[in-house]
Amino acid sequence: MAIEDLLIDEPGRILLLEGNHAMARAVLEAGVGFSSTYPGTPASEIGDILAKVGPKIPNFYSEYSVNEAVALEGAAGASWAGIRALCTMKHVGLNVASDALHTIAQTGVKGGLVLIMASDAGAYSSQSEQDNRWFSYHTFMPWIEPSTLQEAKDFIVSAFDLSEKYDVPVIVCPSSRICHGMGKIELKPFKKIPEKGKFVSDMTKYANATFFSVEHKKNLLKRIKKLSRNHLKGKLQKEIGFDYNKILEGDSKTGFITTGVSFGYTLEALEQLKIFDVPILRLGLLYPINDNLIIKFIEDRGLEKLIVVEELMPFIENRLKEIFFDAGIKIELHGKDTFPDYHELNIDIVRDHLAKLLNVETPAKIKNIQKIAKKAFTQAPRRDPTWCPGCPHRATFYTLKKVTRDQGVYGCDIGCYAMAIKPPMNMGHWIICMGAGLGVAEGMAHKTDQQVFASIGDSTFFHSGMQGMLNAIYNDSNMTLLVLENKWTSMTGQQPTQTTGLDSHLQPIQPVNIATLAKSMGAKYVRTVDPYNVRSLQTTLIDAMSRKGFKIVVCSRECALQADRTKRKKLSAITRPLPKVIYQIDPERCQKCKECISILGCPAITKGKNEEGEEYYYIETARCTNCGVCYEICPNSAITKTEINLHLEGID
Amino acid sequence: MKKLNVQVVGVGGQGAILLGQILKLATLEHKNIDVVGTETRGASQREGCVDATIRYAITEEGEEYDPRRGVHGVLIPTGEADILIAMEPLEAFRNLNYVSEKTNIILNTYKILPGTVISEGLEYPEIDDMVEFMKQLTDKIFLINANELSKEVFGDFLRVNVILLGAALATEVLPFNYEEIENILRHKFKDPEKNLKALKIGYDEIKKQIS
Ligand SMILES: Cc1ncc(C[n+]2csc(CCOP(=O)(O)OP(=O)(O)O)c2C)c(N)n1
Ligand code: SF4
Ligand code: SF4
Repeated sequence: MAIEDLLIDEPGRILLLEGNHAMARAVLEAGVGFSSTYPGTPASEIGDILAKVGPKIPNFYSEYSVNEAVALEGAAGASWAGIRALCTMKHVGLNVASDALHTIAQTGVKGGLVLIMASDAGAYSSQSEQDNRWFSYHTFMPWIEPSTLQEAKDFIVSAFDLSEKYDVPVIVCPSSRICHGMGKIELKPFKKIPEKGKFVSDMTKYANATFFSVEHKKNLLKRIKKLSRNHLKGKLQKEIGFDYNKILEGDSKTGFITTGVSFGYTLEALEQLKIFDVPILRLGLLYPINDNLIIKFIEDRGLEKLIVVEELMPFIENRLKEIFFDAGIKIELHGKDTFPDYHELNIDIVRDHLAKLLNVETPAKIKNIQKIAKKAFTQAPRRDPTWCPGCPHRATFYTLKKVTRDQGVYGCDIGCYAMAIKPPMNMGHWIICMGAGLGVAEGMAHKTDQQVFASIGDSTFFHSGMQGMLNAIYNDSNMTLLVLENKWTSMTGQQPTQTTGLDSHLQPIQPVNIATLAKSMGAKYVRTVDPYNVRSLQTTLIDAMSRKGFKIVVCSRECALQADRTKRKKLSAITRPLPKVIYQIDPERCQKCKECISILGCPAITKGKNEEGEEYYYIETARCTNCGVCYEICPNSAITKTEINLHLEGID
Repeated sequence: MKKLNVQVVGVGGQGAILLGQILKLATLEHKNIDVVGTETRGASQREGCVDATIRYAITEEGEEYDPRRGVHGVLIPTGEADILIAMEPLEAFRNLNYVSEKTNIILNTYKILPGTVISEGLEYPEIDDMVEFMKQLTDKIFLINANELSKEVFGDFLRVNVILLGAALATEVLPFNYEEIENILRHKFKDPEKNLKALKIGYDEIKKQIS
C-alpha cells in the first residue's frame, strides 16, 4: 500500500498496515501538531513516514532531531505551547533522553505529550536488550503496552487524552513485533490540529529550580494517585472511552496475567496444548497498575495458581508480590522461575515452558521437528549480513587494516560500519553505545602507546560524537578519529543527516562541514579523503600515524546503496543508450590470491566453475556498483576496467 | 476457525517482502480472514537472510470469532507452516523448524552462495542431499528454478518472487483463487503485464508437477 493511504479520512475503513504505519496514523486521529524523532529500529519507520506525509498534513510539523534528548525537549516545547506533541524512539534512546525525561515528567504538559518507545527484546537491531518499564517507577510516567497493531494505534490516540487529563507525559511501548508486524487496521475519525498554540508563563510549573522541584514532584505524585484511583473505580475507562486491561473468562482455578505481545503468545500456546478454560487478565496499563482489578481477578474466581507471562524482567510479577503481601493473599505464583528473563518470547517458548508448569507434554511431533531442524540449521553455512557492494566502509576498514598491519586498537561505534567486527575485517574492538567508540578511545590513548583509532558514522557523530571530539581535542588525546561521512543514517534506513544537504523532508538545506567544525573546535590535524581513493587514504593514514596528538580524518563518500538508488531513479527516465563502466576479472591474470574476494570481501565478487571444472573468480556486473576499489587493490593487476560509449554524456 | 500459515524465506534483495505483502493484501477482500505477519527489517537486509510471515485465521460462515483460536503471534510456531516458499535452497534447509508433514515446500533451486562459502570456504550442501533430508519431514516438495525462468522470459531476476507466488497458488492451499491475486497485481503494482505472465509461469510449472 502507498504511504499516502494513511491520509484517508474514512472512519471504519480497513487498511493493511505495518505497526509503525498504524502508529504514525495516530497523529491524525489524535490531532498531533508536532512530532520529533531520532531514528532507531524497530521504531525508525514511524518518523520516516511522518517525514514523508507530514508536509501534506495541515498545521503539522515533524523533524529528525539530532538525538533523542533534543527530540524530547523539542516535543515538550510544543506541548507547553499547548500543542499535542509526539516523540518516537527506540528503547536505548530513552537512556539518552533520560535526564530531560525525569524533569519533564514532573513538570507536566499543556498539550498532550506522548512518547512512543519501541522495545527490542532479543536485541535484533540493538546493542543491548533492556526492560525500560522500570523507567515508569522513577519518572512516575504512565506506561501503556499494546498487544495488537490496532491497539498500538488506538492506545496512542487515547494516551493524549490521558496525558492532558492528568497533566503528565505518557509512554506507549510497542514491542518490535508490533512495530514490524502487519495486520488489518480500522481507521477512526481525524481530530483537527490547531494552527498555533501559545506559551503561558508559570514559574511554579516550568521552572524546576531546587526550591520548586520537590514541590513539583509532590504534585506529580498527587496526579498519579488520582489517575490510579480513577482507574480502580473505572472512571478513567469512561474518560478515555475504553479499558486498557481486559479479561478472558474461564472456569479453571489456574489463572494467567500477561501483557503486550505475550498475551497472544499465551493464547496460541494454550491452544496448542488444548487448554481453553483458563481465565486470563491482560494488562495494558502497567503503571500505575490496577491493584484492585488484580485482587478481584484472583478472589472472584477462587484462583489457586497464577502464571505471569511477560518478556524480559519480572516487572508485573514483582509488583504482584507487593500487592499480595499488602493484601495478605497467598497463592502459587509462577513467572520468571519458569520463563527466561532474556530474549523475546514466542509461541514455542511459551508453550514449552507452560507444558512444564501445567504438567502436560509438548507433543512428540514438535520435539522431533525441533531435533531435525536443529541438525539442518547447524549444517547450513552462515549467511552473515555484510556491507553492500561498493560500501565506502569496506574500503576504509580494508585500508586501515593494511596500513596498521592489523596492529592498531580500533574503537568502533554503532551503524553499518559496526559490521567491521565481523569477518573478514574483525576490527571493532569495542561497541558500547552511540558515541562511546570515541569516548573510550580518548581515555585509552592517554594510557597506552598503541596506535588508537576510533571510527564513527556521521549521524552518530552529530548524535553524541561531537562532545567526545571536543574533549579529545581539548585534552590533546593521542588518537586518530575516522568520521565515516556517508551522508545518511544508513543503518536505520537512510534518513538524512546534517551532512546530506537535505532537511527532514528532503528539501535542500545548507549542510554542516565536519572538517570546518573540527577546526573551529581547535583540531590541528584535519584531513578529508574519499575512501574509494585507496592510495590517498593510505598516505593520509600513514601520515596521521606518524604524528602525535589528536588527528581527525573525514572519510567522505556517499552510502553506496543510497547512491545506487538515486542513480537508478535518475537513469530510469533516460531511454537512449548510456555510457557504462564495467569491472571484470581477467581469468588469465588472476592468481586466486583472494585479496578481492576474501580480504576485501566485496559480495559482488564471486566464484564459478568453467567447462574444465576449474574454479575461477568473477564480478557479477549486475551487483557491482563500480566503486573501483577491487581494481585499485588487486596485486596482480588482474581486474580490468572497460569504459563503453564514453562519447555519450549523462552518467557520472 | 481455521489457521493457515505461509512462511517465505530468502536472501536480501530477492523480493521476499513484496511477496509477503501481496499475500497479506489479498485478505482485504475477505472480512472473514484475519491476518497477522511480519517481514525482516534492519541489518539483515544487507546480504543476509530475510523472511516474511503470513498467518491467516479463517472464520467459517455462521461462526463467531474466538480469540483463543485466532492468530496473534507474528512468528509461525514449530511445524505449523502450510506453505514454505523458499526463494533459495539453503534458506529452506536453515528454516526447517516451520515444516511438518502438512507443509508444501516451494523450493527455488537457484543458489546464492553466502559470503562464508566464498571467502571462508564453508561448504554449501548439495541440493539433492538437502531435499533428501527435508523428506524426513514432508514429501510435498516442489522444485522450481524461478531465476532461470525469470531470466529466460524477462531477461532479469526481477520476477522471481511473483513466479514463486504463482507456484504457491498451484498448491491450492491458499485461501484465495488465482484471479484474486491477478487483480492485486493488476491494480496495486507496477508492470502488471509482466507480473501476470510471471504468475502464470510459476503456476503452470507446479501444476505440471502435481498432475
Ligand atoms: C541511542 C540510540 N539511538 C538510536 C540508535 C539506532 N542507531 C543505530 S546506528 C545509528 C546511526 C547510524 O548512522 P551513522 O552513524 O551515520 O552510520 P551508517 O549506518 O550511516 O554507517 C542509529 C540511529 C541506537 N543504537 N542508539
Ligand atoms: S547501506 Fe550504505 S553504509 Fe550501509 S552497508 Fe550498504 S552501502 Fe554501506
Ligand atoms: S568495483 Fe569491485 S569492489 Fe567495487 S562494487 Fe564492483 S566488484 Fe565490488
